[in-house]
Amino acid sequence: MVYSCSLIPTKQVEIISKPLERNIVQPVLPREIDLKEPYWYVVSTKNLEEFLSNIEKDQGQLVFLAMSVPDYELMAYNTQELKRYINELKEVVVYYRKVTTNKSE
Amino acid sequence: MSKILLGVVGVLLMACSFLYWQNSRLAEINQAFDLRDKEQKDAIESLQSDFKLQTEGLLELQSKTQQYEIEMQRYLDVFKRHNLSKLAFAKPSLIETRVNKGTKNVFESIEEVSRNIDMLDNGLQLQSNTD
Repeated sequence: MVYSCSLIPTKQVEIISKPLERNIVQPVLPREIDLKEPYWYVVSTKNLEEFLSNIEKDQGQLVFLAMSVPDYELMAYNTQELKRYINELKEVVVYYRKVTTNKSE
Repeated sequence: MSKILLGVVGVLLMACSFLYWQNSRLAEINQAFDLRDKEQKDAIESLQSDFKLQTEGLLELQSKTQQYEIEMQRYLDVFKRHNLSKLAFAKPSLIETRVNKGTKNVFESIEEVSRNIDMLDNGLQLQSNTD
């Protein structure tokens, strides 16, 4: 009521806009990949007999999974594609860590 | 005469006090404007710095992405340049060695990439469940 009187000056409210510094907690990153290497046998008519006898000797029975050369090439393509994706995703993680880490840290 | 003088002195005192009050008010306003100006300058600088950091980061990201695409194509070109079926038929033991060496190399490079990601958090480790 006192401030309604025009003779008493009113207090001005200052409105200031400024960006807030956000503190984003960086997560613990996933454990590194631990890959086990399979062994590829390359078999043609030249070493087929040797391969079959070796498999029977090593495994105790004649059983194996086979893959054609084009399918092997597909597997190689898939592995390279996964590697590319992991690499690109790594760069995105690096980018986000860089832009969300406080400069003072 | 003295009454007039007292009146003039009174008016002068009132005028002085009004001017003093007005001056104090203006000084406060000026201080507030200075503060707002400084904060706005800081805010603009902070925004510009963030924008610069993000732009540089995105450009670097784009460049590395292209680099990985090229690297992938370079690896896959090996299959285009060589007839693997023909080579495997002719020299199975030689190709067997190369294929296994290639698998070892690519797996090790994937492990290296993941190790680099893991090191981004300064060595904090999540433990493996299976060891």
